[in-house]
Amino acid sequence: MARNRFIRKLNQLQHDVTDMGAITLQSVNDALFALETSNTALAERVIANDDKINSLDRQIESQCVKLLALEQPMAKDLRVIATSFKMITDLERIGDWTVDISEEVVTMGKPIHIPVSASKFNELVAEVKSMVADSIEAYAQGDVQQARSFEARDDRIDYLYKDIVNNMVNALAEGRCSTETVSDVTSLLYIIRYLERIADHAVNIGNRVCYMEEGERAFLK
Amino acid sequence: MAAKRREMVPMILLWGAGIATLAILVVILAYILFKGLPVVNWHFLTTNPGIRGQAGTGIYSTIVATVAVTGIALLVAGPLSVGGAIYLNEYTRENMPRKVIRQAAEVLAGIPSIIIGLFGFLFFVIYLLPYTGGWSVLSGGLTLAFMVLPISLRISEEALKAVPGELREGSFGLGATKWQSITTVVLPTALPGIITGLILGMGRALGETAAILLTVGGALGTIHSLRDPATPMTLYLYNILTEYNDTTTAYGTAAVLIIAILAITFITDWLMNNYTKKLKGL
Amino acid sequence: MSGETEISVKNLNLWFGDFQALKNINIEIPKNAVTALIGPSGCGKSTFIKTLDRMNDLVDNVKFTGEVMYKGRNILASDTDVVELRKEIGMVFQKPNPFPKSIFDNVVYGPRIHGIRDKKTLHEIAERSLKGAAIWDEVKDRLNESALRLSGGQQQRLCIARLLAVEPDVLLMDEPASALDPIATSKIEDLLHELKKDYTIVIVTHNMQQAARVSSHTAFFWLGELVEYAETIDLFERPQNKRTEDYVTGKFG
Repeated sequence: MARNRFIRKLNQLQHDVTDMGAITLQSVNDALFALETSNTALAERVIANDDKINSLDRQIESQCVKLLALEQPMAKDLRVIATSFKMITDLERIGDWTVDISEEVVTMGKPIHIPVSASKFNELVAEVKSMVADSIEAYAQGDVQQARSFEARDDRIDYLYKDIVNNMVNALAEGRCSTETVSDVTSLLYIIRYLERIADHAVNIGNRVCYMEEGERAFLK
Repeated sequence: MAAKRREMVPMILLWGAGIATLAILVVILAYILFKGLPVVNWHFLTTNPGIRGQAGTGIYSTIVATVAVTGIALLVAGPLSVGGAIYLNEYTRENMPRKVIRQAAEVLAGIPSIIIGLFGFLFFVIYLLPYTGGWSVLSGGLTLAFMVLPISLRISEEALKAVPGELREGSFGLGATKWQSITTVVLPTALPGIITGLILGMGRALGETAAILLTVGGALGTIHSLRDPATPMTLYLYNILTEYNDTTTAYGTAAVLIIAILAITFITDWLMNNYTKKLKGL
Repeated sequence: MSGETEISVKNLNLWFGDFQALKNINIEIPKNAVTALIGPSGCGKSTFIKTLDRMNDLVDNVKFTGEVMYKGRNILASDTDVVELRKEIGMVFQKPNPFPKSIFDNVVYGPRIHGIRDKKTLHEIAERSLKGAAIWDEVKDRLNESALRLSGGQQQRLCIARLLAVEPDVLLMDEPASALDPIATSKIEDLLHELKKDYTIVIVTHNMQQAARVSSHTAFFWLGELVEYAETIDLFERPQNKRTEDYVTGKFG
């Protein structure tokens, strides 16, 4: 029956998107672990792996177009495809930011020392990792409640971000950093910016999940 | 191979039946025309029969009588049957009264013509004597109308039924009233069928003898009014053969009758074909 | 699209004998827009559209209650002049039904039976209507030919022209393209986009993609009920009712 074939294809699509999500999440975790442990080899691997993410992006995009053209999907089916279409872009961007983080790790080439707001920094890292994981899970499960919680969590991340940046910039301006530390801080400033961007994309994914499930656009940002 | 041979047997039989039917018609026509045409000439067609029906006289008055009687039958039965068909098909639903009327027409069609003639005699010739002139062309024509009516009614009804409902819907959808729809769309489309019905009825009237026998009077002179008695061709043929054994004139009369019927049939067919082609745009 | 309502249906119920074909229909048909009616076979969409020009009157044993307000009066009232109504609300049918007459006679049929006799006027009406139906160029040199010689798609456009000649306000179309090939269908759909500027159009279609392509509002009928009525994009992107969702995604149909 045509409808069963279509449902199989739709399920396959969602499965593939979730797979891409898993790979992206792995990259995020690896990059941040590489940062923590100053593991440049791991960082290099993350950079190389980005090709895989990009190629999945293109492949899934093509799957979506095919489904749209051949099946004329409506209602929820249509929203699933539209969501998947956009979500892979968010995942691909997360992958790109992860590459940027890894490149910082490679450039620094040595263990990093966090002079100020270290605990906040760790909290930020943990929360970003968690949000990426949760956003992919929310997509896979159609979990709208989970997705709705992202806004609040993102507020927290924004707060952490601004706070850490503030503290680090102050530290620099007040000359409390040694030459070595200055270079660390500069890298860190880049890295937390990348983390904040990753979180934004995770929030996007959450909003798209709400649209997919309920048809409403929950975000107005 | 055996299958093909099995197919051929029924095919040959059926073909044979068709040929036989055609052959019968051809034989009758050929025989009559062969015997009758030599008798037919201008003189034959324009002189009246002699008192004793001698050979060498003509059938002019009988032609006039036939035309008159058939004409009256059509003039009466035509509007009645077409009007009745329109009423039945367009204004009534498929319910009891409609079925009863239709059944009545069927029965009427089956009544032997001699009985209709008897009725015509009692009603038109005797009872309505002051109006019809008793034995007359008028009485004969009116009686024949009863025979034309059921045929023409049935066929007209079928013709109207054959008009697709979408055409009526279409005209209603444009704001036509029921009567407008009937006159501007339904009737023009059904016209070939209706005319065919009338022609068939006319054919019956032309060929009727028994009903005529009892109502038309049998006079041999040319009529001066519709209330005069007369002898149409069919009756004349019967009389001339049974009373005077004049086979020559009989064949002649028969030939004229047949040619007339053939001519009317073919011409009407041709006219209606053209009309239908024009309707269909072919 | 002006946002005004052309036809307002309130609590419409309709029975054929004992069978209730329409159950409590309430809907506002917008002016100068295309409203599509979708739903599976036998769901009542054709019956509904035929109520709007009282064509259901032609069926035996039909009873209805409720109101259909058009130009301030209730069409369903027993004193409505149905013949006049059909000049303002006209219908095109699924199977093109040109009369067996010439193309010209077909187009001017309506004006003629409404009393217009002047040849010049009739010709003007014919040209205007045939142009309005996007078929003038194809037939202008053969107006006296029989309409039955046209192709199916042309016949349907002729039927539309025939309707336009009567200058209605509302065009009702009962699956107008379902008997046509894709090219003819697409011509009809293009025509609808033009016509909606001047006419209110209600179209019954069993083809959801067609409803999606041509209409601004869509109503989903099921078993005689109006299940959902919304702007077309909303009905197809995020239907509110589960039955609508099941139908448009093809779970049954």
